[in-house]
Amino acid sequence: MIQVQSLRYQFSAKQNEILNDVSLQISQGKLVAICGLNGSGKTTLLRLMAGFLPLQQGHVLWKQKPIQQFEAQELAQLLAWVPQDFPTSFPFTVREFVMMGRHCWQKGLFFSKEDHERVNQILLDLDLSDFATRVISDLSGGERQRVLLARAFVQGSQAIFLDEPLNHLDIKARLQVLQQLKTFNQQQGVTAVAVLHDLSLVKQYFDEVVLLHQGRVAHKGPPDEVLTDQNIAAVFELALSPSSI
Amino acid sequence: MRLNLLFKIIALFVFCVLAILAFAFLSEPVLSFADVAQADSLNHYIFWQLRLPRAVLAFAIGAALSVSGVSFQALLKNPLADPYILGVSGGAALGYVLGVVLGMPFFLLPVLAFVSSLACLILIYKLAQTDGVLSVTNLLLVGIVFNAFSFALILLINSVAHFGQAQQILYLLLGSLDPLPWSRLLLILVFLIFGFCFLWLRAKEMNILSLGDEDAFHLGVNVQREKILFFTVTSLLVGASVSLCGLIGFVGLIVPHLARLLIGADHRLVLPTSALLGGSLLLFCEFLAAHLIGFETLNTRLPVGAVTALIGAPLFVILLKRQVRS
Repeated sequence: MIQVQSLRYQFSAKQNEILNDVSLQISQGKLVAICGLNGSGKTTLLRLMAGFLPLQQGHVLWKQKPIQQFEAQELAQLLAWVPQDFPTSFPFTVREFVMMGRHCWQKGLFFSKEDHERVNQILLDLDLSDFATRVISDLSGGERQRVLLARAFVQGSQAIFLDEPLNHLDIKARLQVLQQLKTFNQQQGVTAVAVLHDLSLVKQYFDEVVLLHQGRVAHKGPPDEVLTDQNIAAVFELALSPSSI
Repeated sequence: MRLNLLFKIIALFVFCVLAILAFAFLSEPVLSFADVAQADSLNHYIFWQLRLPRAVLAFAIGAALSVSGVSFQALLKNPLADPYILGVSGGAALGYVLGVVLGMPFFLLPVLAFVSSLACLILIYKLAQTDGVLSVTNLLLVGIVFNAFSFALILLINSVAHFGQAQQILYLLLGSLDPLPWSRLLLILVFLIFGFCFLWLRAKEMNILSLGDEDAFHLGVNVQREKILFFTVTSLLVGASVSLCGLIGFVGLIVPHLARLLIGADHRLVLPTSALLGGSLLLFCEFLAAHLIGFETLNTRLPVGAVTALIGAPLFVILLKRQVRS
């Protein structure tokens, strides 16, 4: 579904390359985690694959078509984005915010009946119906993340990209978010790519993991095979073996 | 729920019509229906040719400034943005003043104000960004610097202008509403209504752009194109307002906040509500300007820009405090 070929990226000519010859392939319906140290290029890779950052060298293909050939609207129909936290200080209600996920399907001033029905269903599925009229800034961290997830789900796209979705969440909220993602993935066959730090959760919930180290893909494959003590120690530059920490 | 909101907007609209009429009738000296109905009388002339055009102009400019404020706040993701504070009005004034001194025909002055406000907006936007991130503090600081700079340039131009031009420039800096002939007023109304409708029809995009570039992109909005469209139309509104009434500050800042308190954050509702509230607010300020220091006794009136600043500046401080706290 998504092919990344020989991707290189640097923020400025003076700085080191943040990505250095990254190639990978992501199949339809998989849950893929991208892990690595801070500064290893995880979020940059996600942004390049999502088309937000312009490519410098290399290719990103979505269904064989180069990503730069997609209009923003087409791209939004293919992929939904879950940011780390709420991006706004305006007092939108939960319903208004989730509704924005439907924008890529219909222009104009109003939303269709189908849009409203989809939003109602997702709010129900994610236990958010009672919050529908609450202002988003009044929500707790876990509730906010659920709202962001709801917006991505109603977007009806074939893939969801999540940029460190579990930051600032307690363990209960983390498990809840990942469980909902997994359920949605199983029911709708949606591909999900997430930048994550928690390797035990990656093992528990994800089909594949990509370990980045200094801008290169160090290892990729099923978590059970990739997340060995030796690999983890190398990628995360640990002096001790992970099991002894 | 929706009906409730619609009812609020209709009630506000009725209130605005009443406010315009109240302004036209109740300014000193108070007119009665009988006075106005009598054709060829002095009061008939005062009502139709002075009071009503002034009221309509005040309302239209208040609405245009508020709508510009809404647009800037959404696009810059910053609830403290406003054409005056950002320095965009100052930029428009600079273009206008340059046109006055160069002796350009009056119909070219708004065009010049528009072009220079758009140029300033783009410059301020670029200057306030660091590594692609637009911070509240940077934006406000760049706005302050820009305002100071354009004021200095205006004063410089003013010093070489002859007496008549200098008077015109002074009025522009103070912000004042002088009644226009109906033909010109209607032309401007059509222009402002077009600007408003354009923004309103894109209110959904405005909602999404207020979440920031990255979110907007992933929700299917062509961020660059939309921003250019929004900035252009908003600069048109600011340019038109400034070339008609000079620098009237704080209306574009305060009114969107009031609208959001009343109706929520959805720009499909915030835009019409702000237009109506902003129109009434400037009308009220103009009424105060005419009556606060006693027109009868001193034979003078306060420029409306002074009244909006007197009311707006303390409110700005309150909003800034709230913003910093959150």
